Amino acid sequence: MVLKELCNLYGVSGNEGEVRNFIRNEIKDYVDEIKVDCLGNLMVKKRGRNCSKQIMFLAHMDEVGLMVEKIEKNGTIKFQSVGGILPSIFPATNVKILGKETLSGVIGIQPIHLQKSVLSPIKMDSLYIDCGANSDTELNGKIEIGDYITFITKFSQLGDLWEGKAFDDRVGCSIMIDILKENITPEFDTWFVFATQEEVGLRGSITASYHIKPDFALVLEGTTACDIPLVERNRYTTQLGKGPAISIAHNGLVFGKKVFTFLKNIAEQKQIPFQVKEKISGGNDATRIAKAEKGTFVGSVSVPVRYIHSPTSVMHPEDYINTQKLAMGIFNNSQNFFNQ
Amino acid sequence: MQDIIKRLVETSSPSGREENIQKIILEYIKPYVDDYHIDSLGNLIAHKKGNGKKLLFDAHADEIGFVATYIDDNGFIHIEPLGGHLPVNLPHQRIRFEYGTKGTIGYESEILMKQASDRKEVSFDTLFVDIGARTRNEALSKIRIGETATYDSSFVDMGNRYMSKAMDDRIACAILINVIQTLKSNHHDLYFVFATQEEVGLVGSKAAAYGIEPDYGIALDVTATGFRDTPKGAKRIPMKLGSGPAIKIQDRSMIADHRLNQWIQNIAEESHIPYQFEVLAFGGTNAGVIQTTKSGVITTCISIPTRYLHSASEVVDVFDVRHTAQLMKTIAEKEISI
Amino acid sequence: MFDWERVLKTITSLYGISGEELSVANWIQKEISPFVQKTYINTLGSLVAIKEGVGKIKGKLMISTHIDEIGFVVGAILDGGFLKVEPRGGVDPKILQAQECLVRSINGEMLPSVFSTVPPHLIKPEERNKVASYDTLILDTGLSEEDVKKRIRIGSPIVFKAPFISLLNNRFSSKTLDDRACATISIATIKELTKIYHEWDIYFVFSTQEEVGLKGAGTSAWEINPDVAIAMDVGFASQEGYVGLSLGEGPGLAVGPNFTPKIVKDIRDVAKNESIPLPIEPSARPGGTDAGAIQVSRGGVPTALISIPIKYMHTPIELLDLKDCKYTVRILTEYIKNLDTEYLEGLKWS
Repeated sequence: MVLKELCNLYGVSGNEGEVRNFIRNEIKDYVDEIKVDCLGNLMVKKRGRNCSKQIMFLAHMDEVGLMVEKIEKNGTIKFQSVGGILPSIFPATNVKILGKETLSGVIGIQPIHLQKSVLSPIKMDSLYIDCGANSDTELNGKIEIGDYITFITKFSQLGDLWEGKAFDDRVGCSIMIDILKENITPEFDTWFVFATQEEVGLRGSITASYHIKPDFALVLEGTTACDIPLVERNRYTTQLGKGPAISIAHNGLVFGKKVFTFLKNIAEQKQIPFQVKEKISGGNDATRIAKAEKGTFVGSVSVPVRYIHSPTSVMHPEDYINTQKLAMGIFNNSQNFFNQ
Repeated sequence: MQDIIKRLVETSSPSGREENIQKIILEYIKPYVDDYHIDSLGNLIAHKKGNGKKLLFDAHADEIGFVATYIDDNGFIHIEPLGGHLPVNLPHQRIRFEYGTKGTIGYESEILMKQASDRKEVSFDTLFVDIGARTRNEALSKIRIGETATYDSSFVDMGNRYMSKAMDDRIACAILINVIQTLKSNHHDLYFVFATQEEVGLVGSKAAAYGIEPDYGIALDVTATGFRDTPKGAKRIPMKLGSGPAIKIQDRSMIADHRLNQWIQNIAEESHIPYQFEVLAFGGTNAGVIQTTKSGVITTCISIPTRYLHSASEVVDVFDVRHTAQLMKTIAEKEISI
Repeated sequence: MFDWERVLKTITSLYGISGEELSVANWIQKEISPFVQKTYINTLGSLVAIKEGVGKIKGKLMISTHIDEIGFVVGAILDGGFLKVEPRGGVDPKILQAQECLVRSINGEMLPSVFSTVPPHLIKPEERNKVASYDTLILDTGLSEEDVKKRIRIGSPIVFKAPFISLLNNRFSSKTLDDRACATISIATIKELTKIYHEWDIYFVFSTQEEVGLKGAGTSAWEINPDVAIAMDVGFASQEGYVGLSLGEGPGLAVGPNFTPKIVKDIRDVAKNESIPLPIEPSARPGGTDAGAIQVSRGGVPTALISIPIKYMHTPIELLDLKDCKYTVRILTEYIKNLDTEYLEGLKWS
C-alpha cells in the first residue's frame, strides 16, 4: 500500500505532476498501455481477455489547496483557495509555497488579545501567509503570483485511525494501485484513470471519459464523514469503520438501480461490510462520466473521511481494507454487470 | 388523452428510477414508431422516420422525489431530495415509497417553537418521514435504505383544469404520446426522447442528444406562472394559465434560438393556435444541454404553464394542454425553415 | 496602421445581445474577409475566420473572443406601456436607475428608453437605503400603451445605450468593451498576420452567447477540434476597492487549474523575449470565460487565457487602455510565428 507516500505528495488541482509521476512509476510494470492527456489525466489499461467492453475505474489525484494571489509590499502573501475550503480552517496553519523555490509559511491571524470581536467569522480578506520575508523584494525570483500552495501535514497514525491530508482522493488512487499490482487479467479491458481537477469543477473526468468511452465505470472516492459528537445522527452522511460507502444519489446524479444493486450484491456475496451514503450533498466525477457522450453506467464507492478538505483529515484503516476488497471484487466481476 | 395523463401522473417514477414510467410510455407509443431503444441512462428514444433534417422532441419522464437514507431508532425514516424541493413546503405531505409503504413528512417541531415566523431552518436535516413504525426494526421490515418515494397524490379533474403531482413533466410526455399517436405525416426525421434525471441536472437528455446529433431540438416542459395568474404572484413572471403554450425566450439554461421561435410563432398564427412568450428568471430545461451538443443545435423550448410547481398539486389548464398538443403536432408535420 | 479608434467605436456600437449577434458577425466578416482565406457562420451563430498557414504539416490554433453583449429582455408589459425587464447575462440592478437603453422592436427599430427613478423629494426615509432590484425597476419608452403593444413584446431585447468616449492617456470608455475590445484585437491580429510568415492555420472564432454559458465557444471548439486554443476576454483591472491587473501595464495571463501549463509557459516566454509586459492573473476558481469550455472539448484542448484589463465590467462605462490591446496583438503574432511542425509534435501528451 502506498497511501502514505501518496498523501505526503503535493498535488493541488492543476498541479498534479508529482502525484502523476509517482503513480506512473509504481504501476508501469503492471499495465499494457499508458496515456496522459492534455489535462494531465493518467490513463492506464489492463488488457482483458475480451475487448468488447471497456471498464473504467477512476480516482482523482488532485487535492484542495491554495494559490498565491498577491505579494504585499510588506512581504506577506494573499491567497485564493483552490477547491472548496472553509475560511475558518486556514488560521494558524502550516503551508508550503511551491514557487521557483519552495518556501515554508504560516497563515497568520491576530492574537486573541488584539481582536475587536472574537466572535466575528474569519473572512478570506483578512488572511495572509507569512513566510518570514520583510518585503516583497525579498521574495523576487523565489515565488510569484499564481504559484501553488499546499498543506503539508504528514501521514500519521492517530490512535486506531490514520491522519493526513489529501485522503480525498489519494485513498482512491492507492486502492487502484493495489488492484493493478495484483496483476490479474480481467475479463474485459479495464482502464484505471488517475484524474485531475476534480476539486475545481470535475474537469479531468470530462476528457478522460471521452478518451475511454467506458461501458461501465466506477468512481473510487474519499467522501464526507461527519460522525462526531454534537452533530445529529441523521447528518453523519457516512461513519468511520463501517466499510465502504455506496452512493445512491449525489448532486447532479441518481445512481441507477442496476449499478447500485450490482455493487451491493458484490459486497454482500463477499461479506464485506458497507454503508449507504446518507446525504446527497456534494458530487463527484461520476456526474460527468454518466453524461459523457451517449451516457454510461457509473457507480461510486467511497472511503469515509472525517474533516475532509482540511489539512488534517482522518480515516479508518479497516475502511481502506474493505473498500479495497470491494473494489477488487468489482474488478474481478465486472463482466457480471452486463449479465444481470 | 385525459386517461393517459391520469395514468402517467399517478405513476411513481422519480429521477433515476424511471423504469416504471418508461414501460407505460412505451406501451402507448410502440405501435406508432419505426423503432425505439432504451439507453444506459434509461432514456426512452423513439424514432419516426422522415426525409428531412433531424428534429428532436424532448420531454422528461422523471419527477421529483425522495430517497430513504437512514432509519433512526424510533423507526422514523430520514430522506434526501431527488430534484429541487423547497423543504418548507414539505411538512405533512404524504409520500409513497417504491414498494407501496406510505408515510407523512414530519419536522422537528422545536424549530417552530423557537421561531414561529421563520421556517428557514426547515431543511432535509430537520425533516423525517413517519410510516407508523414504532421501532427501527419495524420500519426496516417495510422500507429498505435506498428506496425512493414520491408524493402520494392522485389526479383530479377540476373541470377546465387538472391537478396532480408530476404534471412536471408527465403532461409533456402525454402530449408527445398524443403527437406520436396522431401524426399522419412528417417531413423531418423525428426523434422523441423521454429523458431521465432532468430534475437532478439535465442528465439523460445530454447523453441522448449526443447520440442523436439532431439539427433542431425542441424541449417540452412546464413553466411557472406569476403576477397575472395568482394573487400577488411572482413579480417577475408574466406567464399565466389559459393563454396557450409558452414559447421560451430565455431561462437560466438557455437563450432560445430566435429564428426558430419566429418560425414557431408564424405557424402558430397560421394555424390559429394561441401562444404566449416565456421569460423565466430561474430554472432551466433539457433545451439548455441539447443546444450545446457537439457543434451546436438550433434549439428552443415550448412550455405548459403550471401552477405550484414541484408540489403534490401542480395545476395545468386543459386549454393550454390541448393547444400545446396541437402546436407540437403542427411543428412535427411541417418543414422548419429559418 | 490599424485604426483602433474607428474599429472600437464601430464594433461597440453594434447591436448584439447574447443570442442575436448576427449584425456584429456580419460587420466583422466584411472587415476581415480580404485578409483571410475563409469565413463562415456556424450553427449557434459564431463567426469563424481561417487564416491559413503555409506549413506542410500544420496544426490548428483557435483564438476565441466573444461578440455578444449583456442586456435585458422585456419580462412584462404593464399598464401604461411601462416595461419590466429580465437580465440576459449578469447585470447589477443597482446601476440601472436613470440609465438609457435601447429596446429592439419587433420590426428591428432601436427604441430609446430610460430606467425609472423616484425623485429624492418623494422618497420615503425608509426607502432611501433600499437597493434596486428587478422586482421594482421599470423601463419607460415614452410610448403609449397601444404603441408599445404594437412594437414590443415579451422577450424583446434591450441593450445599453452609451457613447464611445475618448479619455486621457489613450483610454476609452464605452459599453460592450467586454468582449468586443478583444474581438478588435483579433481583427488587428488578422491584419498583422498578413505581413508575416506562419505555418499553422489560425482559426479566429468570434463566439456567441458567452455571457449566458460559454455556448458559442464550446460548440465552435467541438467543430474545429483545435490543437491549441487561446481565449481572450476582459479581466478585472484595479479600481477602488479591488486590486488586480493594472490598466496600461499589459494584458494578464491566467494561471490556474483550467489553463494548460505548457501553453501558458510558451506565451509567457514569447512576452519575455519581446519585453512585453504580461502579468500573471491567478485564477484558482473554475473560470467563467470561453477558455473553461474550450479546454474540456472532446478529449481536451491545450488552452490559455489572455485578459485585457478593464474597469467597471458589465456596465455601460467599461474602460480600457489601448496599450494593453496593442501589447496583445504583438504577443499573439509572436506566438503564432513559433508554431511549426515541431511545436505540434511537442504537444503529444504522455
